[in-house]
Amino acid sequence: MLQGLTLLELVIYVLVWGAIGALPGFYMFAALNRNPRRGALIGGGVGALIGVGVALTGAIATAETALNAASVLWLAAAGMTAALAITRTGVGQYYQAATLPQKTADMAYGLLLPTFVIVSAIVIFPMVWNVALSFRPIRIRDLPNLRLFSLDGFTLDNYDRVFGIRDFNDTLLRTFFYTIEGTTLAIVVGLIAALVVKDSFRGRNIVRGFMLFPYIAPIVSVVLIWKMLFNAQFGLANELIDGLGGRRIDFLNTPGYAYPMIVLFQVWRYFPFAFLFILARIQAIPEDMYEAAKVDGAAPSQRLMYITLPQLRSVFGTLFLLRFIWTFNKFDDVYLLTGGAANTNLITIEIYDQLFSSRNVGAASAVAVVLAIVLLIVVGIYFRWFLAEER
Amino acid sequence: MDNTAHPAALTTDAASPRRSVFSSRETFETFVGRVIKWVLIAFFLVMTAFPFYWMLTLSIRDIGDVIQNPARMVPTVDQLRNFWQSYDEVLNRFNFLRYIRNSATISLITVCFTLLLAIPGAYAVTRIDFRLKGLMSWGILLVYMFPAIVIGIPLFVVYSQLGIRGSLPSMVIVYMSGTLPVALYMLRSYFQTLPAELEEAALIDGCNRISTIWRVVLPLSVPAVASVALYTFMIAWNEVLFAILFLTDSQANWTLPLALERLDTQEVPRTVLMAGSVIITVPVIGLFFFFERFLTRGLTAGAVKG
Repeated sequence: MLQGLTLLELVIYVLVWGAIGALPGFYMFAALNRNPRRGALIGGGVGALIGVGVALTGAIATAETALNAASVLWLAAAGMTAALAITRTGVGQYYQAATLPQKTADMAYGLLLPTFVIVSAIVIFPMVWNVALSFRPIRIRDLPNLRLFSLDGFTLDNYDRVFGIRDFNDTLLRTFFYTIEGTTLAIVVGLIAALVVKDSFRGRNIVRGFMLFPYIAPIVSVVLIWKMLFNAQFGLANELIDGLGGRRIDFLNTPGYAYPMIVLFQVWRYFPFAFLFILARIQAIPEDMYEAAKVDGAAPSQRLMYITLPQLRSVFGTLFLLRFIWTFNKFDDVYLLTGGAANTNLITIEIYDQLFSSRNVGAASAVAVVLAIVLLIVVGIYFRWFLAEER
Repeated sequence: MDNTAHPAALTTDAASPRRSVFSSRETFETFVGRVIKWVLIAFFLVMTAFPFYWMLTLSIRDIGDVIQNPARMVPTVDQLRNFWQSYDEVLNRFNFLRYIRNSATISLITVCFTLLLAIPGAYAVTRIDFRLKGLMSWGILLVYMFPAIVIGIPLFVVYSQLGIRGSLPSMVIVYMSGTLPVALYMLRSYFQTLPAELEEAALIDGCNRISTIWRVVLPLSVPAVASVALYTFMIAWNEVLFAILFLTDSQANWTLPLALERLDTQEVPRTVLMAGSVIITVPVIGLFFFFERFLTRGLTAGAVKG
């Protein structure tokens, strides 16, 4: 095992094992009335030592054994804490001597640590590691025997492959426009919906409840309903076209129709989100502003143009940003609706195809990196523009 | 459009002897606005509710009838009497009872773990002063934006290596990558609105932090915690991306959304599919109607300020 163990692997082992050790160290020391931050340091040190040791001796070669080893370590720490606390050996006087700020900080870390570790492990770490994966030649069949953190066979092939994918630029552009169009339209429809239900009327709560349906219903069932409604043989939309004397259209599988359909679907499904935000903001506009405008003789349309809409500016900004990011990253909607066929392929569907159709993990990661970079650039430009506007 | 404010509008309105609809811009626009409003309400109602009504009727009718009379709006009495047919098929022949159990188990466990981790975490970030507070607070916002499919690939690699891809506990962990940021974000926004004085009073009265959280903060946060729980449940219950990525190969552990997605093939009658859709939708819509007040507040919590 010693040969071929790169410096990078060693560093990652130290970090990961340090983190695994720090967590029980912290709580163990807190339970024993000793300085928990020192406990975390000591625990981290012990963990790192174990990690390096086992990595060098080759005792832990697979992720599975690593998981088992970590469980053993944690159980041992818990058992030891219990034993020490019961026999009262090693119990200190830390909390009697500690200052209030120290104690508060300890408390904060104590409350936050588990969440922090989990989020790091399942969100932040995968994000970062994805970049490393994109430079390695990995296929799905290699996975069971893969050296997780090695950089052997560092290669740019994945990126070559990605930019060689037929129509990759089209896919990228389409994702961009799909996101912009759908997001904007959804916000506009949400605004209209919010204006419609802002004043109370009989049955308002029911109408508002119904308006949230498309957003809260499970995506799979909603997509199936749309597929039924726009089915080529017995879809209701085609019955309507038939009745009007037109020709039947296979909406979701015909290029030229499928793309407007996915935009329309996005608007239908996500306008409630914009609706909720906008409604909440509209209801927070003080009534006297309207009263004053009324006294000055402003008609309803003027009150809308010069009071309501300007007041909503910042909500539009936030909504657009949020929805842009989420739509850009969204996979399920379009995948379930069209599978990316009929000129509706999006970048997230491309990731899926690389992973499961080509069974190429490296290329899938490379597409994911491209997605993240494009997203970062767009959001960066948006913030620039937004901040410039504010000034 | 004449945009200048017109002080004359009010006076003519008041002075006009007969109050015609068109006597002033104010009354005219109010009238037109009201008409447009009701037309739009009708439009929105049809647009949002009709697809669900359609799903329900299709699940009741038999497939032969659907093919022959695609546009039948109201099921016949006969069809109503046999409404259980498609449901029976999807529950028993296609094993949906099992998938319901899988989905319910995963979702409930996800909710429990998410709350267990998110409540103390969010509390620490909003209330306790420590050096990394600002960083952590930002981190929560940032993590909220991360693309699920990008996270999916490395997790796929690790799970394949561990040999636990497709097991239910591993799915709980994956689902928490989606629910935990949302829960942290929502709870943080809520805790910010709670008056700190209450906790300070409790602390001065000799409560320690843990019992302050337990006795003061939690009782005040019941609505927020409930809405987070419901929202987390919905996320886990509706989740399909990770299910497709991780569970496709292990049919015994399929969740409802995945099972339904897999059911969508040429051989399966559409009516059966619709019955499956109803089964997966009803719990969510039911929960939503029951707790609508909590949920609508939860969805916008903290995002709308001032």
